[in-house]
Amino acid sequence: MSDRLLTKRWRLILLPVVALVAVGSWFLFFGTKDVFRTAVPLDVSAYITGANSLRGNTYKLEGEVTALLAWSPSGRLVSFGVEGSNRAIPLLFSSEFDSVNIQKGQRLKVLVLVEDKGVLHAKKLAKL
Amino acid sequence: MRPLALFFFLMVGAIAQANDAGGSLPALPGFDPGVEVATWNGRSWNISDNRIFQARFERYLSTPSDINQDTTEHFKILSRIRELLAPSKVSLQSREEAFRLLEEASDYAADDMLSDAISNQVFSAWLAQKDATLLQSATATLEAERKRLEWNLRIVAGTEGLGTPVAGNVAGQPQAPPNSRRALEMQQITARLAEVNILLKSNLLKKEVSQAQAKTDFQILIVQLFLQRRFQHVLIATRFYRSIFADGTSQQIKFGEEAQNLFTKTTGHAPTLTSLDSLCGELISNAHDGVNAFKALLAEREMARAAKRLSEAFVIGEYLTPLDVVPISEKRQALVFIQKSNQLLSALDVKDYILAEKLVNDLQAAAKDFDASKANAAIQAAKTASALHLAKARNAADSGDKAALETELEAAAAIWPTNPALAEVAAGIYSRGNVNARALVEFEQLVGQRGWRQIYNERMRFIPAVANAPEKQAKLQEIIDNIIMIDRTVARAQDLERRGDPAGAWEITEVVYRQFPEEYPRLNKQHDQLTLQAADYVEAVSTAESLEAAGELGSSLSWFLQAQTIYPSGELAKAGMQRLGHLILPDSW
Repeated sequence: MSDRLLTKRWRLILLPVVALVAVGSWFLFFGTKDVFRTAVPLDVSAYITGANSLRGNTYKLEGEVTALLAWSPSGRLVSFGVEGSNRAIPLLFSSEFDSVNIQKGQRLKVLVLVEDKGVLHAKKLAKL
Repeated sequence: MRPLALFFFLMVGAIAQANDAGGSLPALPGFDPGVEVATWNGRSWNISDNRIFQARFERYLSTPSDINQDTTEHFKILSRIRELLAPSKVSLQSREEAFRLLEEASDYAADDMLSDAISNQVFSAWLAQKDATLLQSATATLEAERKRLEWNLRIVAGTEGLGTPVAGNVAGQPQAPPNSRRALEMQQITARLAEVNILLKSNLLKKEVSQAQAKTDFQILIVQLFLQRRFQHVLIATRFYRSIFADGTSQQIKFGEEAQNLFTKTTGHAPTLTSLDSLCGELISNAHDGVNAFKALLAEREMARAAKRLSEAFVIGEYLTPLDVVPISEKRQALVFIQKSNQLLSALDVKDYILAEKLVNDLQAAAKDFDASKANAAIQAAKTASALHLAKARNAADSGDKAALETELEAAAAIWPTNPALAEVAAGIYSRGNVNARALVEFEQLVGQRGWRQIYNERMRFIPAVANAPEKQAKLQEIIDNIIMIDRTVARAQDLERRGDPAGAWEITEVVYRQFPEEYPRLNKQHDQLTLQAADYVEAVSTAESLEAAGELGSSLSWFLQAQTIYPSGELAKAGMQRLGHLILPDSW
């Protein structure tokens, strides 16, 4: 009886540990390769009513470049049509992305930081 | 009287000079009542008593004519006297007949008792002559006495050697008195002889003095008649004078010193009975010709020249029968013309150009030879100058230049004081000034009430009112420009709305509305209607701008992007996007 009880106890302890090890291993193996997996999609409806509550946060966005709004040596400002929303929002790509072609019609996955004054500053991007 | 006489002398001189030159008798002196100058053969004389002459002439023109039996009879008598005394016909009987007719002529009123004066003078001369005759008789008696005394003296003195008989003494002759007695007798004869000689000389002197006095008195009368232009009587008097004093002595006339000098200077020689007689005959003839010329010109309706001829004839022959018998109806025409001419001069003098113009028209209608050129030139020049100053006054009033306004009005009034336009313009300016003042107050009230549309509707009234106030003028201009812009905007919006572009229509009203919120009902109404029709676009733009104002540049830009999606042509959206783009990327373009 006591052996049975011990076995059951070990099983109850080991299973979460194994599961934990498995999850940790998965994060260790996959999490470092796809940062977008950890980012939360931007709540567009919340953003357009005001970015105060979102400021300082990082979100991910997927969608299509609809227009180049402004360009300067320090970066590019584009209009970005967010997937799953019928709205376009502005995205700022700083000069670090100068080597990347960003043009109208491109579909991108972008990690953005909500900066001061609610400007969405792209931190990472991936073409879809 | 004296200036007229001098004037007359000048005429005499001119006539004499013309005669000396051998030319035909020139026209009588022209007389311009406007400048008080008489002209003759290119020479001019200022007649200081022009008004006196004018008054006399007008009195003559307005006096009924003496066309009656008496005048004719008087003229006939004077003519008869002259005939009786004509050098070729004069005799003792004709002279007595002429003397009798003098008394008859003096009974007529037209004679003014001048014939009586001549008659008296003739009688005095005759008395003087009678005295001379008596003196002559006494002289003859004295002469005989003197001869007798001289003979006696020779007899008494002829006894040589007192007490010694005279050689050759014949028997029967008285014995020579003794010496003492003879001496006494000689003394008595000598004394008596001296006395007789004195009486003879005295009588001779008396006779000369008496005749000289009679001549002088007669000449004075003749000169007086001449200066009074009583030429018919001058002729009679000179002829009487010559018949009475036909002694071959000089018949020079003695005027006063001034008149004598003037006569001598103008005629070149001293006045004589002959020259006076000749001149009087010529002047009577001239006066007669002047009257005939007057009548002929009057018949041709040449009033200007007719009046001039009559005035010239009047200067010469005011008291001559030909002028007395000019009918009053004819004189009246000349009088009316002269009065109107003088009135015209007065009108021009006082610058009453309306009256002057009317008189010029009247005179032109009445006299076809009336020269209106000078008057018309003066009238038109004054009218033009006055109108010019009035125009300047209007401009000065419009520009608010009060000093220039007053100066120009004064100048216009100085040129033509009775100009009707002067009062109208002045009244108009001041009336307009009042209207402008009221309009200005109303304008200010409407500005305070923000009644822009009403100001715009009555802008024609306010424009002149604010002409003198640059600030208000600028405000009015701004109001007018705004209303025009709003009306155009509303019209464009309505057009876009009709074409199914409510967002575009709203947008252009929105741009203006932002400039003048709640100020223009017409714009407001249109704007409100379009806000409903383009609600999505309006909401996107409004939200974007609200967020922009709150510093939410990203969210704001997303709304501008939304607005552009709704209305791709939207200028507000485009402008917002550009504006925010520069804010996010300051060095962008």
